[in-house]
Amino acid sequence: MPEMVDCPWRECCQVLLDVSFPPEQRELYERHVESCRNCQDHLDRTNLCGEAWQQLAQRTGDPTLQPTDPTLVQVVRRLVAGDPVKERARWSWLPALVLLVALGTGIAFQLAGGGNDPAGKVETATEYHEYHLPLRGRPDNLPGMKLVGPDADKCVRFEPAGLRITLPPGFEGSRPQVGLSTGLALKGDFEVIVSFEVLKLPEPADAGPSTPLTLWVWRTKPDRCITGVSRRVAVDAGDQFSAWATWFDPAGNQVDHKGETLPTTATAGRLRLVRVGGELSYYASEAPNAEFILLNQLSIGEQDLDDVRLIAFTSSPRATLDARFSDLHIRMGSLPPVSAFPKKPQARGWLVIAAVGVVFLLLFGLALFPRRRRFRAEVPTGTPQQGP
Amino acid sequence: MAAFPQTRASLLLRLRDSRDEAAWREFVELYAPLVYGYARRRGLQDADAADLCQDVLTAVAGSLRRLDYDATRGAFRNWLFTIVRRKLADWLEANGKRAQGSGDSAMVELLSQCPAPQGQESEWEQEWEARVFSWACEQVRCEVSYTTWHAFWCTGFQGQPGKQVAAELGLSVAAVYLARSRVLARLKELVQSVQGP
Repeated sequence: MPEMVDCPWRECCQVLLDVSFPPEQRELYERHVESCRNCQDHLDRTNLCGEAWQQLAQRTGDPTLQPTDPTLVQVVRRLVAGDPVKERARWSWLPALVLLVALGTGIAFQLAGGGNDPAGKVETATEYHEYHLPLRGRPDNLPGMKLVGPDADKCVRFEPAGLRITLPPGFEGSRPQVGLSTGLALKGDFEVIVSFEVLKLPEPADAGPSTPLTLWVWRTKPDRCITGVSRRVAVDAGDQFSAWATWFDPAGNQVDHKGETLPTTATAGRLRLVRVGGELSYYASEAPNAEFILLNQLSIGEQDLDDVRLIAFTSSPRATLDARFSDLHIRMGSLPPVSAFPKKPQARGWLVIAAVGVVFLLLFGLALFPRRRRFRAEVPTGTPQQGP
Repeated sequence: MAAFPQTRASLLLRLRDSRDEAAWREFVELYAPLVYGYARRRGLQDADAADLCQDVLTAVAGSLRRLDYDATRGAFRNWLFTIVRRKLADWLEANGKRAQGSGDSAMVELLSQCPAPQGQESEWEQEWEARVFSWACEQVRCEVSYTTWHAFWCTGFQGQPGKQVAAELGLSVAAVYLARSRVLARLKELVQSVQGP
């Protein structure tokens, strides 16, 4: 193909701004623009987005990086899951009423002290579970917890400031993951957030392919999927957040890997995983109270995940890592109805009375309803109803 | 790229069919954040805003199925705003009675904001535009890679030179400009599809 002598910036702009041009017609201009400052300047100055959108973008920022309000996610999910108008049209009030009575009775029983929370569970509503593990000192409410990795008893310590993982240099090759296995399985939708603090990370030249600290989850059935979000150092990419998932076949061979990275200099912040349906969203924040940045979204399916781990490893003998995790929050399971969200603290006694009252009224209404129907049926059409 | 979505006019038409679950999903994903965000900005707690959001979308869907909305009489966004305000007023009235009884100053202050002053309509318009823009961005972001999206955002809205972005992302300069053009075309396509009369 001939090289261009004069700069055809008009044609170049036209071709690169009009997506309908066939690739074979674009090729010449694509090569030209790589080295033509004039064309680049023209293309840079062309405001395709318009003033209104420019202002909107200034105001909103990149919408795809905005943190998602969990309550909004839940209400959308609930609305999408069941079209309420359609549900109403089905005249399914009777089963719902019976269910409500049963639920009211159950709530009253729970509020009256009839149920005991298992260790570690701090809040339940239907099948919704929420855990908060400060990790400031050894947790005493994690029966399935264990330390994992070589020399874990030396490298992993529960300190007042958090779970500390210290990986000294000198480990040949790729060090297996070292850290805490919580033994907590994740079911349904979930959100996991943990704070991290970097005390020491290697220089990129010493880091090997990857030296990360990671919020890590996995499953072994029906397929083997490992996924997580990391603060890491890599020899070829420097300091990054990394959000990734890897799939293996039953023989342990990697069959797929997807990941995104974002450069960062954060030495403290938070890592977050949110699954809604089969979609897992990966977030990180660059300071303990900073907003989350969406790093990646992957379809990992709705299957249960077997474990949540807080781990680190090195992949070079020169690499060393010292970091802390703290304040592990986990919310999971069937999402609670919005009306069950805590609004204001209320006295339990009132709730018990209210729940019992609701049950009583519903039962009373249920008993009364057939009589009212019969009474109405007996009134002849067009006859004015008399007051008492 | 994904198939071009239904236009909003046909979305509203499709909503009349209670079996069209895709239409309902699209409707909820587009409008729930708008209504929820508006309620939150009016001072409602998240759970109350969620309840209101559900009430509004349920009412809107019901009205559409009863053919209450007539597109020739005004934009859908104005009709939706009317329903949002009415539901919000109902909520404030119901909760205001409790507030006046309890002397809850925050609730009384909230009540003082209703009925809506003139500025609320333009505020709603702005939020509508922002929501449509955000929704379109979310749709496109799901269709393209991270680098394509990032190339678009940096050159389209942050004014970064194409050459610089190309170096950062490991792309050719032409690929960056093409990413900008393609994403922008798709965004406009989507926004156009949901702009009401």
